[in-house]
Amino acid sequence: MQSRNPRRALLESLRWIDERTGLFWMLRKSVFHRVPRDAKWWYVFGSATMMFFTVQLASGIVLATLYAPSAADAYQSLVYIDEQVPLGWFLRAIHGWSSNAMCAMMLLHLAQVFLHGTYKYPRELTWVFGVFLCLATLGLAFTGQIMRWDADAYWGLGIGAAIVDRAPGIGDQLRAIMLGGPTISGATLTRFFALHVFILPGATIALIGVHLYLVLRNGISEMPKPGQIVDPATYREGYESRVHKSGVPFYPDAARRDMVFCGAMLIAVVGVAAWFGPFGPNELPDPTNIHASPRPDGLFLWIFAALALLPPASETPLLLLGPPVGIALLAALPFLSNRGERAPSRRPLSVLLLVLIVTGLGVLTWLGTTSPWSPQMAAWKSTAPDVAFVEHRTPLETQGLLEFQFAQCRNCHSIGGTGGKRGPDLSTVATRLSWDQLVRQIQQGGGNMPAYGKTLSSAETQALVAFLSTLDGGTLKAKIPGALESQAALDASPAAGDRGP
Amino acid sequence: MSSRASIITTACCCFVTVACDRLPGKPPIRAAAAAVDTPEGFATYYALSCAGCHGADGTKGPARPMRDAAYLAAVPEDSLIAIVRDGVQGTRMPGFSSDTDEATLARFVQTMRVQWGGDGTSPSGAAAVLAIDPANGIAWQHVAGSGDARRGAELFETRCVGCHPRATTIDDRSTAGSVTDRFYLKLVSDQHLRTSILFGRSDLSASTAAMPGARGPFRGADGRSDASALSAADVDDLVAYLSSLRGEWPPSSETKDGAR
Ligand code: HEC
Ligand code: HEC
Ligand code: HEC
Repeated sequence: MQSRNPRRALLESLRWIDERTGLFWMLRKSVFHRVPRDAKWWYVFGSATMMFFTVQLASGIVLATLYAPSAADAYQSLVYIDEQVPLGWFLRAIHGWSSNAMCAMMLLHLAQVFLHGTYKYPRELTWVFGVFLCLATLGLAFTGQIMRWDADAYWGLGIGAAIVDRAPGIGDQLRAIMLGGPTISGATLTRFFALHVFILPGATIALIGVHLYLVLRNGISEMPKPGQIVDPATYREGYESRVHKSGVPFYPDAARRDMVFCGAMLIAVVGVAAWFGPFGPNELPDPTNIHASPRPDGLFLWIFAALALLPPASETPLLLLGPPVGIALLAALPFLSNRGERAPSRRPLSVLLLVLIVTGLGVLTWLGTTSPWSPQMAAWKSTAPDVAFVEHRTPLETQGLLEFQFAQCRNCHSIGGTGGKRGPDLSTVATRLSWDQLVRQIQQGGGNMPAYGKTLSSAETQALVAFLSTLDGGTLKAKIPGALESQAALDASPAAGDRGP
Repeated sequence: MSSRASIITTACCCFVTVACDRLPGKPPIRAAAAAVDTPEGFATYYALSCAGCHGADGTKGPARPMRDAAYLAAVPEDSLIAIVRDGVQGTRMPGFSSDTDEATLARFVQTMRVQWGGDGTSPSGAAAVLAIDPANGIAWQHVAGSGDARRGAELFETRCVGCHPRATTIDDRSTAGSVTDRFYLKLVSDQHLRTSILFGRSDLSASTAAMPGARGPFRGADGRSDASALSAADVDDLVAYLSSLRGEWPPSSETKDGAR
């Protein structure tokens, strides 16, 4: 106010700040630091990832003010954002699509860094923090999908719960930690909301800080050249002198490419968001439904497919050991090889590995999208069994059919052609499996069928198996009159000993 | 900023906002489902929530028919609403209060009583439904602790054994299977036993082999038909008898402790 020259006053106060914080010194150093001249378009993915993270932060903060993180209101508040808040749907669409874009850019960045051997000396820790960032980002994507609190979110949680459930001994505890109780409930949403808006973003920001500091400290790597060997004894010196000689300042030379790419990506995401709109929310979740398996968002589809394809016996060890070992290997990569050639042409094994992993994930994702693995969520209460499966049954068998509906077997299995297609059609299961085999299948599950041993009482199991053992195709009618056939099987079963009068 | 510039900016913002709101990605307004007290709304809700167990058209499902005028007339509205809201503990009847608010459930039940209550297509009776009430006017409600199990056992011998042989004594193929089976009894409530005895399951087969209502006809140990109807006390006693075979209700911890 007093100052006649506002420009000057501004400069004054900036200088005041700079003198006390060193802020501008730091900014200048990072903006104008010299980078290798050949750092071309390959290097834009990291910046694009960060740009999308900023978009996520900004749109997420606004969404958090509109969203009601309680099980009772979450769904309704999303509908409210979509329909009542001006452009609310657009904001949700941007948040959703930009999340996918961020993950895509991050994976590209990861693949590029791997392909170019950039993780070698002295950038080992940059890579390690990058791996943590990758986990945090995937965590954000996963917890974000839970925020929709619709059937898909429910199934996403279901698959997670099913995985931690398998941990020997501590399965129940882990599940309680993850879900905030034995089952998916309001407490689960609270927990995931805290993860999604506080813990994970906070962790991501901190990790980005460290990651960027390390990038600045060690410099941007040069394009790999065949024959240019990384040797910790001489690398730093060589790099410094080359960059000093032929390098260009980060701004504007390299930054220009980043900005062009980020701009184009941003426009693309805004366009896609405008055209395709927000994700979900789909139909409401059904809290009584936790048995069937979920179909998660695209990013996690491959896990879903892998689960379906794994041989049952290897499932538990692979599920429990696979992720920790995989992540540990990824993080340990620079410690396994931190010197030598960086050029892809001299590292055929790494290139092959990358190609294999990318193709594998691609194929699994494709399988996950196209296969009829998704259970039919409402079949248990809405798909009526054919009358042929009701008539001529003993009261116990009828109870078994009710259990078949109630325990949501119907969501995965069809009988008489209707019902889910995730498991085999059971219309003629009695011709394939004996009484004991049916009991075993129900109690132990396996092959993507949940184990019901802990959730069904002996009476419920007995009724179910009594019903299933009538499913022998053509001879249905012969059962009543005559509960005899199942009775004989019953008497022969080991459970017969504790049967009542 | 000049007032002209601000007007232009505001206009631009308005334009962008309006234009953006017509983009193809904007989700369509979610159509509110038809109210459950309209015929379509009732049918939709029934098909989504009940058909899997109570039958596609309200009959011939594994759980008892709801399209049954005599039954709907006999059950007090409050009891019906309470069952649909809370389910029946320990059985396969779920409560629906977690996905639907109570007022809607009440309207659904009221509509069910109108839609299926008096249209004469009841499986439990012929055209003039209420005239031949299979329950013979006996009250639907089960009263805990009522009835004499010993007398019930005798009645069971003379009225039911012809169709429901005791599990240990079946040698006849033309039977309806055991209702004295302990596993079966563990799975159903006393109210369900009473409802079954009162209203039967004539929707499942029209022949004389169908589970009759309280009017009969019955079949005793000798296999011959017995046309005399049950009295209210008979029904109490039969339920008490079947219930005594099961043990306590609601089911003990056995229901939870895993099958073995
Ligand atoms: C999440 C989906 C899912 C649910 C829910 C489910 N199953 Fe399965 N079920 C499967 C799959 C998948 C298989 C095939 C397993 C395999 O490949 O070994 C299967 C196999 C079976 C089999 C063996 C079929 C055969 O021909 O070998 C039986 C019997 C069976 N399930 C019964 C049940 C019953 C009873 C229930 C309810 C208590 C149930 N299932 C619930 C997915 C499910
Ligand atoms: C998963 C299967 C299932 C579904 C879905 C279901 N029911 Fe039931 N229902 C049952 C069973 C089993 C019983 C008998 C429970 C018992 O033993 O008392 C029952 C009992 C009832 C009874 C009491 C019958 C009596 O004893 O007088 C009513 C009324 C009823 N259901 C209405 C409904 C309505 C209305 C719906 C839909 C909103 C519905 N049910 C959905 C399985 C189901
Ligand atoms: C004419 C033969 C016949 C007679 C007599 C008969 N029942 Fe039944 N009952 C049946 C049939 C058939 C069913 C099986 C209905 C079905 O298909 O689910 C049945 C089912 C039942 C059920 C199970 C209903 C359910 O859905 O869980 C009970 C309980 C029952 N009867 C009790 C009795 C009692 C008590 C008596 C004697 C008062 C009796 N029945 C007399 C034929 C008979």
